[in-house]
Amino acid sequence: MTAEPAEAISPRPRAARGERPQFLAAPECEPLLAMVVALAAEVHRLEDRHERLLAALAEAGIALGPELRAGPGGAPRATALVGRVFRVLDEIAERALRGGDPAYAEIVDQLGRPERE
Amino acid sequence: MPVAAQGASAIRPAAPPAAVQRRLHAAAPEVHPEEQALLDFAVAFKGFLRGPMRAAVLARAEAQAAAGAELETMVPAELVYRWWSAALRAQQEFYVDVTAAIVDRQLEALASTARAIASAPGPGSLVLDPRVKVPSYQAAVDIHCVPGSYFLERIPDDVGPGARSELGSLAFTMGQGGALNEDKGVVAARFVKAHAPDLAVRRILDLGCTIGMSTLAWCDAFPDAEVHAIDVAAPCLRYGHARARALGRAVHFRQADAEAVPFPDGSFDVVTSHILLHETSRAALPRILAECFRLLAPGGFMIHVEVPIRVRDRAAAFLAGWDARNNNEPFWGHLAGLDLAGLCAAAGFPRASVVETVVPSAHGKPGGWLVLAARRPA
Ligand SMILES: C[S@@+](CC[C@H](N)C(=O)[O-])C[C@H]1O[C@@H](n2cnc3c(N)ncnc32)[C@H](O)[C@@H]1O
Repeated sequence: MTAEPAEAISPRPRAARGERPQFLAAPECEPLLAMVVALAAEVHRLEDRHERLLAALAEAGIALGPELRAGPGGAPRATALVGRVFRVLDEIAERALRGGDPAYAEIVDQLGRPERE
Repeated sequence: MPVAAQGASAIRPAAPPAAVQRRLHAAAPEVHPEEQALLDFAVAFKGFLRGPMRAAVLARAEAQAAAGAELETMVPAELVYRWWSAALRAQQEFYVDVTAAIVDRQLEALASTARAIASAPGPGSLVLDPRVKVPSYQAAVDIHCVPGSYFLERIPDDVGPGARSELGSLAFTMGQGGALNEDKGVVAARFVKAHAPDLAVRRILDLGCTIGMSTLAWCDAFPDAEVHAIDVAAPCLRYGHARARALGRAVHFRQADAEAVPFPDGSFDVVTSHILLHETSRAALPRILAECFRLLAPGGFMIHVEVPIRVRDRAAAFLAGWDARNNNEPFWGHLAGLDLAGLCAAAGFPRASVVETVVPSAHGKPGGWLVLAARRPA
């Protein structure tokens, strides 16, 4: 038995008007970044679900070992996850502030020389 | 019955299923915990991008400015700026998409809830006028990179863009606009009380109200006043009307253009707007200010709350303009260069009555708000 199909709602538009600005050198990079962001969000969603499940088990009186007890709540956990996934961006920020690293280059240069300065 | 299922049936959910779906008010979209997790992620990611990366971009911009460089070309050449910008744009698109998806799965239900609230007796009113045209500076732009913007209508009585705007604004402001994102209205109403303590505020008009997030603060600040609000966006007004009722506030919403407002001269004691001006155009602005003057009764007060566009420091201004350049806010930069007090004077307000100043947010939003105010002579 097939029901009369409801009149389909047109799909929502996905692209805002105007050219999308490109910041990274290769045009392929930014869609990939968008995918990484979406995947990281999915990891958080699953972690969150997992925590809710553990909390429900604990509430139902099911004894959980300390290694399984629910951790910190939603927002701090999301912040911690973001910090781990996007760590390299903070590294880029730190390098930008530090500028070059002449002492490092100098010692590398000197290491193989027979004489010390 | 499989054992696993039997075991599972012993586990009682902590709360009845209805309470699992959170919503801000009776007209708002339900947000499932899994969706809330995605929103939490978006907020956390935005917070991350306000941390060391932003500080490094600002420091590099300051260094470039000190060296006399052209910031618009030199800063974008820096690796940290490029990654920061790419990530910010990805964050923006992500939270817009998540909020749109939350609304999409309950589009019909939201419309029917709004319809039911609107057709039952309740405070306030809604007047839609399909003859009102969306100005090109709105229709052609998709402000803030929201596909379909404030105007997309896919089903009869669609409220989708309004509902999405509420979820999106709360995620975008990261809670720094108050629980109902009412901060701008709170700030504006306080300003009027402080600067025109003698004014008997009986009728208030809010221009470009979207869903009335700021409008409701006026209801609370002046409980005896009649509060009106206009916008060109029908789906936002439908949602705003249902939302105001759900939250127990009386607002008279009307679909109308702020450049040609269908109320007689001298109808209001206060005419206000909240972050409307930077979304208009150089040609529209004088017309909107002239309408404010016309609509005010003698002694009436005009107040526009805006994003803090008057940043003096070059590096900070460069960063503040990121949204203008990369998040579909094309008029923002122009507005920052205008003599707004002069435009108010040209609209009829006495020059001496015009105030342009920055005021703090009522909820701790950094940078505060720009206020442009003027008073019609008594
Ligand atoms: C940033 S939103 C305003 C936010 C809202 N005032 C608040 O505080 O929550 C800008 C709104 O202005 C509306 N708008 C733009 N130009 C307009 C015009 N000429 N007349 C009326 N509304 C306009 C848009 O439809 C949109 O809803």
